[in-house]
Amino acid sequence: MFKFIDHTADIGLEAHAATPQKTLEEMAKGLAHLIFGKKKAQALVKKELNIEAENPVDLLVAFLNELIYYYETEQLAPQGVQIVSFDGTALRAIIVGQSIDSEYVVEQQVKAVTYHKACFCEDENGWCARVYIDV
Amino acid sequence: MTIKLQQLDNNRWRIPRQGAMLSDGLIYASEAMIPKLHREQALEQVYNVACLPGIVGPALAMPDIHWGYGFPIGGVAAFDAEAGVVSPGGVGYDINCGVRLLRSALTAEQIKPHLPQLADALFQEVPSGVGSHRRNFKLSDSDLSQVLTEGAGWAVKKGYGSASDLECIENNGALAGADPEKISARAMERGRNQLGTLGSGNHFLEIQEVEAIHDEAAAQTLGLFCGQVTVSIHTGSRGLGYQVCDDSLKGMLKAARKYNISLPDRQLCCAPLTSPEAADYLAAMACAANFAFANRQLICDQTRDVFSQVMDMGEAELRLNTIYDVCHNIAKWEKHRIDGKERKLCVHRKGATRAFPPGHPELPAAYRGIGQPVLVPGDMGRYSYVLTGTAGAYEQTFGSCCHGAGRVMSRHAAKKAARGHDIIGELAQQGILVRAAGRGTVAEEMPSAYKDVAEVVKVVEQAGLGKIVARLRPLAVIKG
Repeated sequence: MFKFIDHTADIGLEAHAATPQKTLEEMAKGLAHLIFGKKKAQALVKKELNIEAENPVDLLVAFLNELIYYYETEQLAPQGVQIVSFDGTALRAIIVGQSIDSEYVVEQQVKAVTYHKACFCEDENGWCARVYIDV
Repeated sequence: MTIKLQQLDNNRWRIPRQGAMLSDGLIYASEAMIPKLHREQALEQVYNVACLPGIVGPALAMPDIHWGYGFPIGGVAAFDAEAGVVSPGGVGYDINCGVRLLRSALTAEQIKPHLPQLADALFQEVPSGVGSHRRNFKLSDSDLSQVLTEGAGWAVKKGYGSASDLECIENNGALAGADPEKISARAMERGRNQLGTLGSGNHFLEIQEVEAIHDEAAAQTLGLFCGQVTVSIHTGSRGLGYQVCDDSLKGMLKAARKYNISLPDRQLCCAPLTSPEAADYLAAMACAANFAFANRQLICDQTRDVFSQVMDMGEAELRLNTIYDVCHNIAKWEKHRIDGKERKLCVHRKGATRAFPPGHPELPAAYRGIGQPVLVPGDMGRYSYVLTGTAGAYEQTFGSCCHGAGRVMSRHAAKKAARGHDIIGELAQQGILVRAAGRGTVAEEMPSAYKDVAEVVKVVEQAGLGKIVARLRPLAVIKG
C-alpha cells in the first residue's frame, strides 16, 4: 500500500509491498491518486511501457515520470498499472486507462518525480519505495 | 544531521564550514524564521550545496528559504567557470519560472465595477489548471524551435506585444546559447500546445492595486502610483521545462560518476562547467528559459486583449506596459568581482531573483538610475512587493534577492487547515475575487500556507539586498 509524506512545498510518496513488482504498482497507484484523486478511470485503452535504467531507484523514477509524460501528452488517466516483468534495471508494464478530456476532474498538477531521497529496496517486510514529487 | 548555525547579525546566519562543505553557508533570515528551518531540511540542503566543487563564496539562502529538493528554495550558489559545476537541481524543473509585472493607466476605483467580468474573462481566455493546453495553438517543430531560440522576441514577431516589452525583460526575453537540437522529442511534445498557458500549483495571474509607495523616486521611474491597477503573471516553462530537467538529470547522474563528483543528494547531480555535459545542459536550459519568456509574453498579450474588451478601451489608453519580467529558477553566466578581481561565474538561482544594482549595464537604460526591479509576489490574501536591486546585493549575494514569500505549511497541512473553510468566499469578503480551476489548489495555496512576505522583504531591505518601492494588494486572482 502507498502513503503520502509531508514536504513543505512538494509531496512525498512511499509504498510497501511483498515484491518489487507490487511495490511499483502501488507507487503507480499513489501517483494516480495524487493526480486524479479517488476517481477511477475506465479501462478503454491499453499501453505498454518498456523502461530501462542503471539501477532500481533510477528505474522507479523513470517509470513514474513515464506515467506523467503519458498523462500530459496523451491525457492518459490510468485505471491500473501491471508490472509484467522487472529485473532491477528494466521493466515492462501495461497501463490500462482512458484518455481524458477537460471535463475530467484532475486534482493536482505534478511536474516531475525527483531523485531527492529516492529509494527502492528490500526491507524487513518485503520491498519499499519512496520518492518526492515536484508539484 | 545537526547543522550548527552562528548568528552574524539580525538578518544573517552562517553555517560555518563543517564536514564535507567546501565553503560556508549563509542564510538571510530573521530570528523568528530560524526554528522552522531547523524542523525541516532546508539547512541541510544549504550544507549540501556548499559541498559542490568549485563553489565561490558561501552557499546562500534568501529569507523565503524552505525545504526543496537538492537546492533549498531560495537558494543561490555561484561556481567558478574552470573548477565549478552546473547542477540542474540548482535551477529546478520549472526552468525560468518567473514573474512579469504590468502597470496601467487604470485605477482600482475605475475597474471596480468591471472586476468580476475581468476575472471571468481572464479565467476563460488564459488556459490554467492541470495539464492546461491550447487547442487552437499547436506549434510545429519549426515554430517551436524558433520559440526556443528567440524567446519573447518570437511572440513579439508574431504580433503578441511590442519591442518595448522586450527591453523590460531579463536578458531582453531570450537567453543566448539556446540550441533546440539539445531538446528531446519528448520535451518538444510536452511543450507543443502549452505555450500561452498558466499551469497550476503556485502559478497565477493577479490583478492588483498599488496600496503603498515606499520609494517615490523609484516608483516614478517605474510608472507606479497609489491606487493604480497592476497585473502580475507568475508562470514558467511548463511541461517542456520539466522534461528538459528530467532528461538532463539522467545525463548528469552519469556525469557525476564520470568526473568523480561526490553527491550529498542525487538531485544535486552535476557536471564540470568545462564539460560537454554542462554545455549541453546550459543549451537546453536556455531553450526552456526562452519558452518561459515567450509564455509570459503571450499571456501578457492575452491580458491586454481582455482588458481592452472588458474596459472598452484601446491599448494606447490602457497603457498596460511591462514594468519588468524576472526569472527565479535559472543558471546564468555572470561577471562578479571576487577579492578585487572580476570573475566569470555560473550563478544558480533556485527560487531567487536577480537584483542588479543601479548602473549595471544589463539593465534597461531607464532603470540604471534606480537598479533592477525585483518582483516579489506574496500570497493571494495579503500583498506583493516591488523592490529594486542594490549594490549590497551585488556585493553580498551575487546580485540576488528573494523571489516570494516561501511556504511554511505543507500542501497536506494546508488542505487540512482549509477544511470547513470557504477560502474563496473568505477572500471575496476581503474584496479579493478568486477564479480557480481546482478548489484543492486554492486550499493548498491559502494565504496562511505562506510566510508573511512583508517579513521576507523586511529582512532583504535590512540586509541591504533590495530597496522596497511599492506594496501591491490583490484584487482578483486567477489560479489553475
